[in-house]
Amino acid sequence: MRAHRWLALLPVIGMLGGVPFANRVEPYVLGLPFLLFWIVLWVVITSVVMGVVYALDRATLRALEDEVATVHSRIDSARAADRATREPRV
Amino acid sequence: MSSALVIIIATLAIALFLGVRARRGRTMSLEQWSVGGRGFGTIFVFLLMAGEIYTTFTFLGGSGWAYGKGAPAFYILSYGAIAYIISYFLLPVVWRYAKEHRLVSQADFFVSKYESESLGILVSLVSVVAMIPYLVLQLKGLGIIVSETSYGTVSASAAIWISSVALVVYVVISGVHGSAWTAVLKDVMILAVAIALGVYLPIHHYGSFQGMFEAIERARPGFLTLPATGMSTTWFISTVALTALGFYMWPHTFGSAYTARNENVFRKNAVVMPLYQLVLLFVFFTGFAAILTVPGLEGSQADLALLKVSKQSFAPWIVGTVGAAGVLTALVPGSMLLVSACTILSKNVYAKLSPSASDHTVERLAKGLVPVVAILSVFFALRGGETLVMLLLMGYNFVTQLFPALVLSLGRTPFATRQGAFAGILAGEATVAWLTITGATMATLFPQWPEIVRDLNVGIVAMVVNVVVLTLVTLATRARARSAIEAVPAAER
Repeated sequence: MRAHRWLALLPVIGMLGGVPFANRVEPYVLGLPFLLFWIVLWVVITSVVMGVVYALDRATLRALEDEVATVHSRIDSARAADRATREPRV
Repeated sequence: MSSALVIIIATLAIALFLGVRARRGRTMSLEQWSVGGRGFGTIFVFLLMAGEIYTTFTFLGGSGWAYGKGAPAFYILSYGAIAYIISYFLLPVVWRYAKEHRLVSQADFFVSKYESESLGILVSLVSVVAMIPYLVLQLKGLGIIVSETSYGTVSASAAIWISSVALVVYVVISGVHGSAWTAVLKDVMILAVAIALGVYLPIHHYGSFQGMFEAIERARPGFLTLPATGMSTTWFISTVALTALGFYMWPHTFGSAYTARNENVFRKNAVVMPLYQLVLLFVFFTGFAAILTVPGLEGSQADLALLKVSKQSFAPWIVGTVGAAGVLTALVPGSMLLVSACTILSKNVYAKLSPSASDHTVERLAKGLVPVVAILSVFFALRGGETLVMLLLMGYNFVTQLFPALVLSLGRTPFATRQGAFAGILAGEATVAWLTITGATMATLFPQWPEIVRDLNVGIVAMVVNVVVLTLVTLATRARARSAIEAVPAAER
């Protein structure tokens, strides 16, 4: 259920793992030498990825809460039914 | 009085006013003073943690590294992003535990998790030793900034004295609330200054960003990439990794995690912080712009690049604004360091050594220590020379050594035993001290090994020693505990 959290590894691998290959000046991107662009790009991706992880975390939490709420309401209605059957008939 | 000086003094006065006013309507218990009663929302925690990114070290050092070293400076931009990813998972766990057990300092965490007072004292001493040079460096930076931007009318030492007094006043009165409020002012100013300099200077002097980088590449081929040896890609990756681990191990950063109102604050921060950090890019641009504009700053003089290029390009009132922003980059982290160091010394060292001390005494001692630690730091800032940089490097490596024992304690029952944690930290710190004092690098330790190993950050050695000792001692103490239990006759068990 928490599998999406592995996404957080992506920026680490991308930024650091890519440095040996990105260690060059050309091509310039957005006016930046390529190595600097590469790092900036991954800093931005870090933010996006963590945003996605956060959104998925919240969604998972909400789903869990819903599930708990359904279980609770089922227990309540079962109890009510139980009580109803035990009630002495007049 | 020049317009630059007027702006610097006015900013200091506003910072003092905000810092003192932050106390309003609060009784300052130790919990309020040191962790803001755990009531800070996303924005304050964000600003306190951003305080950690924009210190005088990043302001002067970031531009200084870009000026003097080139591409290796980019590591400063990288480690933050990785550290925020770690924070997303680490800080909520830490915060929850700290809140439940009403912890106020980093050492408290170790004491509580490992149920060991002596481990707490070890962690406290290590972190105070690491923090003092950091504080001294902030004050030294501040002195340089003020004397440069006031065009020499205020000496560095006068600046250090005056701002230390301001610092002590608002720290004693408002504690971390003061830090949070001055952080607001600081971040507004630093954002404005960094972006203005970083956009204006390259375009003014070179026409465009790319134009600037092309000019640098022509003048100094290879300056914009990592070199093949020395500060190579191996150095880069290992340094970013180690620094990211150490990032939240500073007691004042760890402490700012306690100030949050709820744990989602950290998760939101982990999303926003990486982007906010990109402001460092403009600090780099300023350093790069200075390369061909104010050439010839050698060695530690490179740290003056940002100030020199500002003085050369702007009217005094802008230089004054740069200086004022610089002063705040020293004051905010400085105040957090002071609060943390004094809380630790009082609560985790003094109170443990004399357990009969009342809460009131501990609280008064914490505040009473503020001027003492400040004066000590001022003294070092005025006297200390090159050894200071060595101490700071040692400080960063010192706090990083707390990482394994901390992370391994996060589970319901810590993986490491208290003896394991204690021995691991001690061995790691001893290794750091030895490496720093002898000036050893991987290249001197393993001269026969390939370049890829020789360029590794030497801090890795200490980390390996730490983890190995921690694991061995943990296994040994566990085995002993088990055999002690088995030695008891079954009937008595």
